[in-house]
Amino acid sequence: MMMGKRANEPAVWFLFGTGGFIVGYLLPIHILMFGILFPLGALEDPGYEWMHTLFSNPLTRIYLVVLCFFGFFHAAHRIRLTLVDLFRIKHLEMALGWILYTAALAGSAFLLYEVVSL
Amino acid sequence: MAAYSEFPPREYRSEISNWWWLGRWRYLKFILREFSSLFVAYFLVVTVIQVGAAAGGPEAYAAFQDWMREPLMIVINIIALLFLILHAVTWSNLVPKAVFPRRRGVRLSELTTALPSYILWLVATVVVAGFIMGWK
Repeated sequence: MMMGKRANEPAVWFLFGTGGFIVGYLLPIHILMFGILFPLGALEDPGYEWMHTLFSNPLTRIYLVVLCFFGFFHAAHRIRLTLVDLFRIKHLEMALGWILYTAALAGSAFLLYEVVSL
Repeated sequence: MAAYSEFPPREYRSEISNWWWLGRWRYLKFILREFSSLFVAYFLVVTVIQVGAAAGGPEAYAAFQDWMREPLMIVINIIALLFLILHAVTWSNLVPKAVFPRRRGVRLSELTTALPSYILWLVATVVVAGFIMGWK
């Protein structure tokens, strides 16, 4: 075993684990409301004015950054493991990690930019 | 260096198809659970677009709402919701695999150990729904 290569695993695991809880608790209701009930008209869409007010609140901004940062890392890590298992491409694990974690960071950074410019 | 031999031992390679996970329900369940991560990423991207739309003004937000009203998007979102529920349930069920709380020396059952996670999920859902709907 090459122990040295595993030095970053606890940090990745912390992001992955915490992200798993955060998206599990928060994303289902986001999808249910914004993705299903509001578009179908089953529930009245609060609309632009309220969503803008809500998103502009400092606590909501922090909420969005935390949700996206941990969530994107959770997804990136799991997609990496799944691709490696599914296609048995252990040799590409490092490269996949670079691509996926960079994408996660880019997504979080873009959201941070949006939240600041709200 | 080893001497040349006429019949070198060959490396053993088992032949596994890329569809190995279709063979057994256990494997399929594992892959479906892992696939939830694609839908997590998908709806986080939708959320990033939504926040961008809210930052962009009323027209941009109306365009986001129109996009969500596309029948295809509603179907994708229903599938995403099912995968997210699968994720939240399987994730909560991992708690008893990681921590083993005891009360008066007796180990609590797996259900009792997982329960706080389900309660947190319910509370978070109600609170987030409340903020979105603007309940006072």
